[in-house]
Amino acid sequence: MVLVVVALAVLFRASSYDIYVANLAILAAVAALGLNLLTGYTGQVSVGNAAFLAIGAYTAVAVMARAGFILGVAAAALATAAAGFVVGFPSLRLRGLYLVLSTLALQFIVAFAFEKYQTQSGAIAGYTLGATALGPMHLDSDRAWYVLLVVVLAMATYVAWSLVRSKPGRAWIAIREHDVEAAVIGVDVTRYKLLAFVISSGFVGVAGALAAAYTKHVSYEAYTLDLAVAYVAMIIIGGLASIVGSIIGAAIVTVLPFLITNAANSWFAGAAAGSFVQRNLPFINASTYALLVLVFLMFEPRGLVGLPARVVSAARRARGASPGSAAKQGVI
Amino acid sequence: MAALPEALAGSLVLASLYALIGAGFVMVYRSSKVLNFAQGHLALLGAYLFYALSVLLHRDFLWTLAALGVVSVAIGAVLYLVFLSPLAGEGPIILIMITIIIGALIVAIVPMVWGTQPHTLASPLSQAGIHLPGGIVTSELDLVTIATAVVVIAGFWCLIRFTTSGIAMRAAAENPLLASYRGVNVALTAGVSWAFAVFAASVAGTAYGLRATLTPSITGLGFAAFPAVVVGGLDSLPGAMVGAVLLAVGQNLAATYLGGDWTDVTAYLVLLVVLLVRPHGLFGRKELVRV
Amino acid sequence: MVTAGAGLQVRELTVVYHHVATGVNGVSLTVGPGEMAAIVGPNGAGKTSTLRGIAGFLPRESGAVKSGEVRLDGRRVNGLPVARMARLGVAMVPERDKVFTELTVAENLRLAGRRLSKGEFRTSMEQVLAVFPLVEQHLERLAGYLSGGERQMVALASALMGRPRLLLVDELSQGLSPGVVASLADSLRQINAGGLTVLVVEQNPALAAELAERLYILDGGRLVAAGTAEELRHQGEIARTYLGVAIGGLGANGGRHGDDGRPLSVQAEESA
Repeated sequence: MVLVVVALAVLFRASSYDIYVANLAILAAVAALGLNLLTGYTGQVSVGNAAFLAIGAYTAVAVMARAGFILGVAAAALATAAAGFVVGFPSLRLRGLYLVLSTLALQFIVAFAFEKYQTQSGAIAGYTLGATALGPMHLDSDRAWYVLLVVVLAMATYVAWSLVRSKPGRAWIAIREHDVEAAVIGVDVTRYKLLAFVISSGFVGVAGALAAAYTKHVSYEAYTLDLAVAYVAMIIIGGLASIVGSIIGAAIVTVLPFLITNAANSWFAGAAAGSFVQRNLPFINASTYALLVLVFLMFEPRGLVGLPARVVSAARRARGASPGSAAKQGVI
Repeated sequence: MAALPEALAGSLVLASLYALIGAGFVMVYRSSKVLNFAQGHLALLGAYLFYALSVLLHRDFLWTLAALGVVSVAIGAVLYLVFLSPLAGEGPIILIMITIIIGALIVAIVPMVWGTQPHTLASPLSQAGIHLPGGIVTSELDLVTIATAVVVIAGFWCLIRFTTSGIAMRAAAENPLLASYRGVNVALTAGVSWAFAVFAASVAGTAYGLRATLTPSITGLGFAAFPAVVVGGLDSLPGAMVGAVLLAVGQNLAATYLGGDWTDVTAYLVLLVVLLVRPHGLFGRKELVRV
Repeated sequence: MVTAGAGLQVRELTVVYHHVATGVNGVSLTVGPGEMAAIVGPNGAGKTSTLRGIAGFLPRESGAVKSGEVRLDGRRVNGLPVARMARLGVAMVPERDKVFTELTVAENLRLAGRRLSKGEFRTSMEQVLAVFPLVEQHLERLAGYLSGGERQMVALASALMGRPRLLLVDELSQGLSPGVVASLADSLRQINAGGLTVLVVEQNPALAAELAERLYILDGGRLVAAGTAEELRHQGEIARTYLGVAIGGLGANGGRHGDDGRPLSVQAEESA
């Protein structure tokens, strides 16, 4: 309910620019949800998210022009899920840090492949997509996109929520906690690990395709390791293994750079042209962003979703602890 | 096929840089089981620090190197104690993220302090070609770089293998609680290994900076060194050296036969194959799965 | 061994995990200098928590001492970092992961004795190997390749290398064969006879009663009873519930006692 009200309020009150930022945040949230299923719930750390976004976007480019928007998104989901299936195989043998390295390899290899493809097909500047039509509706404004994306996010949230509350979710958590024991108690580790990869990358692929259609431009330079890292930051800041956390984290990490740039622009508006600040604005922004993420990581490594509970328990501890031990302390 | 020995000789300099950066990875990984994604960025920082210290010390090469050693050791210890030690015991994903963010901070801060324009490092080492038998061309700088890498890594290896501090570092890495029961200050040993890691990165960054102009975009060195370490085995210093040589040769061959743009991706294709076939690398210890 | 044992006083110790779950609640115990005491009790009684409360927790561990105090020779030491406790002379042999499996046995010992001077180290080594002669055969092996009993010996030997004043042993006999346990018990007695204060957690009440002057019985995180085996024997209910029949009259070995009325296991060790 609250979310619906917030979503509507944004729709009617916000400027077009704000809606643009909100749309980016929603796109990020869809992908972050997918990543959190894999990393947060199943415990498989991946920095391959940018690669999956790229696969989704390139599939969309290839399919949308011929078969339309819906089929383009569907094809992107399928292609990315298939890629996730393939990438999931090493995870059956590799644990922990080694999986990070294999997804790092994926990132470099996919980026290279798309760069090669792009340069050899003569599209050095990337691909441009036409206007998107959803049946009779023309998605020609940020506001129209906003409505669509809110619906998509709601659907994605519902799917993720149902998954983690049913058998796959329990199996994933068992795998995360200890995959050897999970196998002993009858969890089909192979099947559910691969399922996590498939579903997770499917989410990311949808986000990649939608982002391509929304921004109308796709090029390999956008899918950097930094982007993949930003997604990991989202789910950590929001909260690992938390649906709401994925959305909060995506919103924060997406909006933060805009806020920093705005703040920097207004604070340093008077700075002389060519001065230190003027020359280094991008670096000031980047370091502020990195510092803020660092602060989040250091002081809230369990994510923002756990914050209310921790505040309460800290307050209780400060007031003199639980009832049982109060008497004991009196004796001493 | 006279190309092979030449390619090999040319690869050794690159391999030395990889090995130095990789040695830092290994030290950090062994002591705190952290994959340090900032290692390449630390090399960048080290090269710029060399530049700054060189200006400060009137271009006296040896004094600059000594000062660089002191400063980078201090930076390593501070990085660990401020950013990583408070989070010891968190999951690997958090710790990796911290190192990534440290890298991002370095990349943002370096151009603010030193600008984006290229700098040249003052060096008494000549880059003039020295012709060796077999058609191999090298230079004073190349030879010193290779020798430095060998000496630094051999030093690390002896330290870990033979000294009680080295034993304490290995003990703290394997079982921090038991190490504490035996009186080891676990945070301190990890801090020391971070100090060594930053030192090795600084040396690598300087060695790189001495043969090219210095710009804020040389962090790729660190990401290229990753596969080298994995090929050798994440926890093995000799492995890092062998992996570095194999990788550098492989990259040179790829550049020769496939084209220059294939060098980075070759490294990662090799990484992927090694991960699938022999995840613990050529020299690494198989990690036991405890039920 | 050469160093005189310290006296240990624990007062109203409460250990909690994750701020809430209680490991032990208000446990007090005293071990005089050079004494050997044992903690017995069922699984989950809080035996390990008590030892951890004395030896300390790492900063990021979920456990912590919530209240109470630990005194070593009268000096209040709780809340100190684990490594600092170790340097004060508290040596712990944990229940699991008790040796560094990736180090050789010699390196395990070298690490433990690295604060000693060269001469002290040599003396320590000689004394430790005299107590655990088997360890000497394995010096160059990786500790990870040792059997459970050998690991326990190396763990005890490492703990002794640092010349502690208080030895804490979590589960001396668990998972080990009777022959090995007898030999370990013998070694522990020898160590204690040299003046070292020992506090051992032992699931086998018969063994605990043989080893220790005083027994502390824990259950549900609380101290249920304390005293010598003799005293506890007269508290029929407690003896039956916690010590099985071991002290209550029947021996641990199916109730068979030797001629002098002591459990057979004791005599087996002495003849071994």
